[in-house]
Amino acid sequence: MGRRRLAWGPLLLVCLLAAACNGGAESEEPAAIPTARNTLGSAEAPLHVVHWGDFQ
Amino acid sequence: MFATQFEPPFVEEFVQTGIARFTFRHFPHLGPASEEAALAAECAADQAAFFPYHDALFERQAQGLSRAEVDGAARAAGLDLELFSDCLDSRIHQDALAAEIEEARRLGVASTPFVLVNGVRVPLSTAEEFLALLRALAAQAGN
Repeated sequence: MGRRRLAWGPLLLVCLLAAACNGGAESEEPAAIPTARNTLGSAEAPLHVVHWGDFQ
Repeated sequence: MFATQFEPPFVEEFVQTGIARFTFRHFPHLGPASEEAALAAECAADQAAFFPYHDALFERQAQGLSRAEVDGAARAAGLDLELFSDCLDSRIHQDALAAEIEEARRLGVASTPFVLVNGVRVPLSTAEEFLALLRALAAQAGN
């Protein structure tokens, strides 16, 4: 388990950094329900965390 | 799990400091009560109270989300209950929710919690690992 985490951890970070540098995949986010009303924080923030959840 | 274990420290460290913004998207997949709760949360959003209602619902999650719990969360979030009930009973957000679920499936969401950071999926093994990853990204961004 520990070895697997060491393997994907740096890879994931590189992937995330690359996405951040390229503006990420923001255009891939769904727009069915307006995002702003379900969003906390500043639009200027460099990181955008999107959580798909179920209240049940 | 995300809402109770990951979200509070994440919001405190990153959202309240302007480093990250946080968006909740619906992926109700555990039956009719899941969908009802998602619709209820959108009715709360109509009253600019999505996150107070989100918090109240997750506090009641362990009790099962009956209509009584959904309404109780509305009271706890300080909503106008008449407007809330009218909205929920009309199912006015049903079509938008269905479209959101369809879009989520297209993005590969199959279960919850599912989290993207700047468009890239991240694993959710522990809250501390999640926060450490965000700290690394924030440092890279100059924060």
